[in-house]
Amino acid sequence: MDPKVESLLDPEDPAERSVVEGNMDVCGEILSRASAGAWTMSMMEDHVKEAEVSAEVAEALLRIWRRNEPKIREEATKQSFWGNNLKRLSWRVDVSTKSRYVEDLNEPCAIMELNMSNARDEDKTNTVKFEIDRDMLVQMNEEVNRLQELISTF
Amino acid sequence: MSRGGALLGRRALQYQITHTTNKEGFIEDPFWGASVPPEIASLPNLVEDSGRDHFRASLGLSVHHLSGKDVEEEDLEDVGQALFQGTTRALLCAIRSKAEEEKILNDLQALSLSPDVSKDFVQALSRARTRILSGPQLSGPSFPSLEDMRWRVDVTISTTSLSRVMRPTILMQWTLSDGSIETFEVSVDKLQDLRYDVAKSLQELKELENTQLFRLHGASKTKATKETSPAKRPVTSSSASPAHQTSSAERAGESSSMTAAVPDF
Repeated sequence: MDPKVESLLDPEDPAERSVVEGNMDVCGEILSRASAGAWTMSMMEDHVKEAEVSAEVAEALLRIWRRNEPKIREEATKQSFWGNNLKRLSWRVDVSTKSRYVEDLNEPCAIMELNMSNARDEDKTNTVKFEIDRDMLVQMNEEVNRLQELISTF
Repeated sequence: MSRGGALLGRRALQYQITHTTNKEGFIEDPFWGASVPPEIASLPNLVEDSGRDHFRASLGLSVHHLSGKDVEEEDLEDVGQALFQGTTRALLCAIRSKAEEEKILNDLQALSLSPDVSKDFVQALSRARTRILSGPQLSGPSFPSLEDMRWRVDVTISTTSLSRVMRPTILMQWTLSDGSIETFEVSVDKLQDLRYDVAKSLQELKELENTQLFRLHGASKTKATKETSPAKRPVTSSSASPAHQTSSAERAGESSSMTAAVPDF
């Protein structure tokens, strides 16, 4: 149980705890079905009427759905993507001026850092650093723009 | 007098002349620098003794070695250690100097190498330049580079928690030069960030190439030797003032930091 909900319960009243847990299970199930089926408000009202919940719980459910439907759907969508996700891209432009063997380099290049994390486990992060020269950067720019064009036509 | 001059034997007098005059009439150092390295200085004698074929074989071995590959002991004995050291050093100096082929040809002939042998050297250098530059002798510490970028657009239709999603996502697969392959998803929102970052870094790179530093560097190939000292004075990042560093960083935005600021001359 969520610690915030836990803190609101009376520790000396075990019956209250079981009622709250039962309500939470019913609400969770109804909201999951509503999100998966993209219910409208009237559909939600119909389903709540059919469900065996108290008038207070029914009212709370309808209020939550009215106010938070986009958020709930967005959260459900997020949970549908569990691979490595690009979280952040950082870059900088360097000029190599000289090295041990080459006195006069003066080669500009970009250095990029990708931060990726697992959508389901934010602690699982992966950082990759690489350098990229101008030609590759031009190619990448073209590819990304092509992608954008493709997606905008979708 | 050059350090190599003392070791040269019968050709010592010729090697003391180490500067040539370029098209504009300015005095230039040879591609190996102001003083001739002993390994290069001994090349004419060695070629005269062992012949052009041995020189060509030695060039091949040097390219092999500088590209990071092993050289067989037997092959080394065939061409001779001294000749191998001479060609290796000459190739390294030629690449380090970034000198043009014509200049290298002139410098080698000024060293008393025959035109044919000098041409062999320049041809070998031209063919193997990229391989040598990426070899362990010349490539310094660096991050891996991006070699390949593949992508695929997926449209999610339905999932366990949503019956109808209809949302496109991009699956990226980037291959780095160290062999690692990174596969990750990019949301449509993140693609906008990626587009901005790539375009911005490319713009910065282009601006940097167009700045005075690089134009001056390009010009220095022909005119920098006008100074009284024959040695070139490279323009380095340390000559940049803090004020310029600030303006560059501001121009580049929050996510950009330029390690070498570009001064306005």
